[in-house]
Amino acid sequence: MISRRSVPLVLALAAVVALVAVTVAAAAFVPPPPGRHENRIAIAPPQTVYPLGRRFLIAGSDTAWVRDRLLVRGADYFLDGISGEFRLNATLAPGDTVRLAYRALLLPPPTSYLGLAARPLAPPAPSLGGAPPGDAGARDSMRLSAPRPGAGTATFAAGAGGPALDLAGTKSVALDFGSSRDVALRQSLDLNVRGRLSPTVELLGVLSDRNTPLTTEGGTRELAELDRILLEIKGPQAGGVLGDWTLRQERGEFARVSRELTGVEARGGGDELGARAALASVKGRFVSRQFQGTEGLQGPYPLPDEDGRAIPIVVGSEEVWLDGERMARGEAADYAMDYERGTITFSARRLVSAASRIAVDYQVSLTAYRRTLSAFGGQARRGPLSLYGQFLREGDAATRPLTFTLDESDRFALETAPDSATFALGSGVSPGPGDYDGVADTAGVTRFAFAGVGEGDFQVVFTAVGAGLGDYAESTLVAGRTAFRYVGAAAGSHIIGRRLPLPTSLAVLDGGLSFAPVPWARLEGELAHSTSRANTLSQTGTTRQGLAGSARATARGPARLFGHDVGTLGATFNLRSFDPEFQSPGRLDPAFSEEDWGAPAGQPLTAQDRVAGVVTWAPRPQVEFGAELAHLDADTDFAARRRRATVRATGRLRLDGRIERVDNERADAAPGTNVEGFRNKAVLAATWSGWRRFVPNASIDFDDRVSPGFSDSAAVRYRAWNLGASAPTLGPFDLTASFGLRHDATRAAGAWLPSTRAVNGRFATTARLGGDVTAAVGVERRLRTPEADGAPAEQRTDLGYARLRQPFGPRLGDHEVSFEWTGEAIEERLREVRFVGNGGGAYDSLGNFTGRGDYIVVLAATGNFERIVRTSGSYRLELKPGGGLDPGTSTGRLLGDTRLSLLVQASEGRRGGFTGADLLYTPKRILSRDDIVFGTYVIRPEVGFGGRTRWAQLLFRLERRSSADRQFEGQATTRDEWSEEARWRTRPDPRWLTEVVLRGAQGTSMQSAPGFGSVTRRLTTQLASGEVTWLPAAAWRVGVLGSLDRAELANDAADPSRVVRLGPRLTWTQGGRWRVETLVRHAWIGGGSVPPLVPSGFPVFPDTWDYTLETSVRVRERVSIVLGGNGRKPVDRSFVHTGRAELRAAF
Amino acid sequence: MMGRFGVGPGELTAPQGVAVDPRGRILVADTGNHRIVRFDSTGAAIDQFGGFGSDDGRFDRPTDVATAGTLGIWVLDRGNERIEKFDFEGRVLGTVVDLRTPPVRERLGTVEPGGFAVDRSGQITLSDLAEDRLIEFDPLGAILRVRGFFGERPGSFSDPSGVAVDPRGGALVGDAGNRRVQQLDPFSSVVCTFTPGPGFGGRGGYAVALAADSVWAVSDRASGRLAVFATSGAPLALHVPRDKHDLWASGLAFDASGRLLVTDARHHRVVRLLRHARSAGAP
Repeated sequence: MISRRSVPLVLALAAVVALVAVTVAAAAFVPPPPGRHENRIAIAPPQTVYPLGRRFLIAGSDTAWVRDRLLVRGADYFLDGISGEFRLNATLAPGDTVRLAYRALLLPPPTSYLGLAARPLAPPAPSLGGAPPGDAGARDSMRLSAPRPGAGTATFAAGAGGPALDLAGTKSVALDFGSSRDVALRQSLDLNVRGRLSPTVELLGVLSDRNTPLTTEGGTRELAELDRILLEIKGPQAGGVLGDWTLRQERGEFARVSRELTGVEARGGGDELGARAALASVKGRFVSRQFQGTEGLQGPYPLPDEDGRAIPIVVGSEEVWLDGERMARGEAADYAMDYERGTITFSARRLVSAASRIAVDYQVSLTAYRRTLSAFGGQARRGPLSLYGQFLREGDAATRPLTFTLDESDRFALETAPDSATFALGSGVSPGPGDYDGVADTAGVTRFAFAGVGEGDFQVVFTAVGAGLGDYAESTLVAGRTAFRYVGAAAGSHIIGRRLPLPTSLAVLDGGLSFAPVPWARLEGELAHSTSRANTLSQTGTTRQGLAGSARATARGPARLFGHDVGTLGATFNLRSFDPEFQSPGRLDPAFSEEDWGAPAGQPLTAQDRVAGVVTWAPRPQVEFGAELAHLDADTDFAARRRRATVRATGRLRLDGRIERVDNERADAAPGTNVEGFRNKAVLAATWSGWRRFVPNASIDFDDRVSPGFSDSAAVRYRAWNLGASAPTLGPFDLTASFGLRHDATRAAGAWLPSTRAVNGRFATTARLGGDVTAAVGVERRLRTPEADGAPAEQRTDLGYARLRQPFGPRLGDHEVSFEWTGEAIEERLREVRFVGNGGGAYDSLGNFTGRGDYIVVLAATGNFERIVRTSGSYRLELKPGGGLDPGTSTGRLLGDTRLSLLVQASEGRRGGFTGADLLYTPKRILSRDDIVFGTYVIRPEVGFGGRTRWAQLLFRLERRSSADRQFEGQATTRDEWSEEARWRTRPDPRWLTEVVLRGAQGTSMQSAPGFGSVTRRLTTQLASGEVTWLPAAAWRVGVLGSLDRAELANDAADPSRVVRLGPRLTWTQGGRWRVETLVRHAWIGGGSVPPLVPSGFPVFPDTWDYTLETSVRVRERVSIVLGGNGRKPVDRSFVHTGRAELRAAF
Repeated sequence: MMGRFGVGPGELTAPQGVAVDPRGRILVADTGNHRIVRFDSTGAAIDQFGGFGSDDGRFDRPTDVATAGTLGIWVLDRGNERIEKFDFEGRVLGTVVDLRTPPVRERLGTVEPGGFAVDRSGQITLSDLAEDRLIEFDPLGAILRVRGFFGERPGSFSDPSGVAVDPRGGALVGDAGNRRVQQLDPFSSVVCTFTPGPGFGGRGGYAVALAADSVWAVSDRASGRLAVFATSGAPLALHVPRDKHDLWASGLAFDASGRLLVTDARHHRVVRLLRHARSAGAP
């Protein structure tokens, strides 16, 4: 019995016992670690990857057994912790069970989608253009909405935090070999890296080096020899670039430059204190050109080098302006470049006329010397004062010529030559088989005489130096080469020698400061010094040193007058001067800026002293008036004074106008030219945007200009008016239309006389019509007509495009028609087929290359351009009429994927102006009309059905292809080819495939040449081919293929060519690791070579045997070895084998 | 939203493929205008390249575009039956794969490109609708291997259209004829198959995209449906067009932040879907 007094003691004892028991129990029971899991994985080859059903596994927490064997992590298996995959590397028996224990995160990171429906967001605010890329919500228009209440909306941001570099690419080493070639070792590398070195430092890089032969000296030795290299590091305070990059130096106005470079640049600091340095090789030589357009000609306009030669342009180096507006590259945009030929062509969306001002800055490829550039610069800012300084040197590496050799005598010639290329002549005579013999005259001096092509003892190069300065003159043309003859001392126009390019250099040191003591005023100054040499090797040449400077004072702020707020007043005073020796590495003034001072276009003012004062008054924030008074002294004798008034308004009514008067004179004007001149200019453009559906605009542009130093024939007067409107939301239409009128006048005897009148109309619309029909049409016509005798002839320009697309529904197909027309020009070229005797040439009488013939072909470019209208059009129809059929029915299987398509494509260039008939393409038109310079026409209807059936997968295709080439005067080649094809495929069982193809073709060609009439050839070919493929297992693919070819030329004595080929094709693939594919064919040949439609110097004789063997082994996930080879046995010759062994690694 | 109907700069006509380059710029295969249009990461149009034609750098209905880091831009030029390559600034490098050339025709027979993907080393995986297979090309355009053939078994395909590849060489294939998406490992073994769900009929083909963290998306071009899944197969999101004005999903791509870019060929636009995540501790 427990007494009442002992109850507390018993309770205390029980509590102690319970506490001890709980403690002991707790000590005895060890709970499993949180997140521990165990999977049992049944092995089922060839499967190697087994998802575990959980993601975000803890690295190193895993253990795997199979029976009693412990699997080794990283060798026997690999665990992908992020995606939760067990990847088996060891070979285990099917049915083995792997026990895998691991730990995973208790809660996965917040990265999952929760949304179930898309809904639009509110339209973005217009000021969001500068939203940072990482700002996920800034410009997104839709979001997947959260379905569950309480779900958070934290935005996922990848890559935040520590280093995260992604390195990828491929490296291959290959050995090429063959029975008729040397063994060559080649390598290629593609490397790509991007990511973050730290939370604030980004890295982006690419290195590409392809097909470089491996030599003992190594492969690529210079950065410029790599196909592509870029390593870019960006941090908050520093960064750098290694590889291909664009240098843009845009501070100040005397050392502005933009260059495509290969090299290194480093920069550090910020606006407060910063510096940068660059050392690079220049990809091309900078050229700046400005020219006026040609009436009715969109292009091509040549962009030559400084010497007028057509040289490839560095891709992407160009900057183009048309009438002061920066253009964008792209055929659907403003212009297209032909970098190889160095030409520019404007698109049908930018009409070019004789009044168009075109300016292009670009880099031409280097042809003389390697060129290097070094640039250094820095800036500092403290309070109201900021400073900057920059130095740039660009020059040719005179010891490293690119396309020629420079020996000691050449160097001596360059060292002794002054700055003119006329005197820099290298040796023009080299011994060996050549066209000339040395002949000693009576005085014992050796002259050179033409001995025949390849029949002389010397190779001699002649250079034009001007009439009366040389000893030799052009004599005659032999086999396309000009022969020279000795005509006596100083009696000819050529001398012996090859012209050596002069290595040049330019260095510019530039610095400037800005001081803004109060918010409304600023003082700026800039000083630059340039040093240039036209021949850096010359010991007699001069070094040109020039100086340039500018100063500007600006004040702008709100003003009060008699206690009233009168808006904002501003004043700017600007001084600028540079001497004639000063050279800028880039464009110093905007294109055609000389016209602003009354000088004629294309006559840049080479040295300038300019003073300008401008005052502005903005009574309201949207309106500003301005007045300018400026004076310019240039070219030592040119002086001009300009007065200008401007108005600018923003808001519903947008105004931009100016009126100005320039008085100028040229003290050294030649007799017969104007000593004094003037310019009156008035421009006003107005746009009213107060109405939502209709935005009218109007502009005027008046210009009178008489230039000093030039006669009245160079004077310019025009009056241009333009009226237009746009309707952004007119029902389904978006319209733009404009109409312009321009009168040009010439000046004679102090009076203005009408010259031409030009009328311009433009209309463009895009429309979304009913039923998802979309259309886009743009047409523009300009008609220039003469208004006086002697004025330029009438010229009409038509440009346009039209496109219509109509879908018939997602299951039925669509059709689309498009046209485009524009005016271009092609160079007139001559092609002479010249008889040189039996077997003396390589061409036939029609100019076809036949390897051995009686004729040679001489091509000559005349330099004259011929206007053509170029049009292109296409129509494409694609119908899927069985889209709605149930594929479960027999009809649905037969016709469910029926496809009917029609493709018509045509393009042509025709001499003359545009007519509507140019868009009505027919083969007959292209084949028969002599005024069509070039043209192609393709029509291809096609029907296919039965794709879901076993036995009736059929495709029928008919094609007609017609083309004409009449680019050489008096010569024409036309082709008209028909082909018919039927393809029948069966798949009776998933293991069997058969394919039979029947094809017939008939072609007719016609060639004509002056003096030889025309020759017509007709070729008929037939082809029947078939292949049976058996797929006995996933690893095997076994096939037999055979074909029968027949080709016959009409009215040809030779037997028709007949070739029967038969052989097996075998493919073995083992789990993606191994792949072996081989094809061996034997041919039974009848008749001669396969006749071509147009004679060719490369007759095709079928091979009696041919084989292909390719084996690839994937030794690791990202490493493969490929062994390939092929061979062929030509008729009556032995086998020719070629092969390649290659190791490819991807990382 | 990016683009609107038209032929001018930044305008689109029936766009299909979409990709994101390492600078975050968005490349859209503007199929109807036969060009590639580039937008910056804020959605503003930058430039375009291409144009109708068969010369290098021109296209005839480009249906897909892909990037592989800074290695370049690849375009599936379906009308010209080839894959063209550009550097990552859009300058043409040339034709990598030309399916019309006799050597390729001789080895592969008729190929009807469905879709393609490029892995980070520049290796190309092309789906072939004609013979229901995947063809892999090395970065220089040489044929590496062929995966699969017609059938319903895992590893076989019927109308394989969209393809996406993961960094290890695995592939995600829109096996539209079998109404499923198959995940393959680098050695062509099937890891698993997924069924997108009812309404994904597959007649217009599937487009698929794979995000860096193993989330993937599939769209059905005929129905305009879009679904997002985890690699475990768990559905994360589903979009079904409510009416003809609603988003009609066509091509897909994930950007570096995991946002999903969707081309809408019917409405001539590209829509970016914002990715939302559950807060830590949320149910």
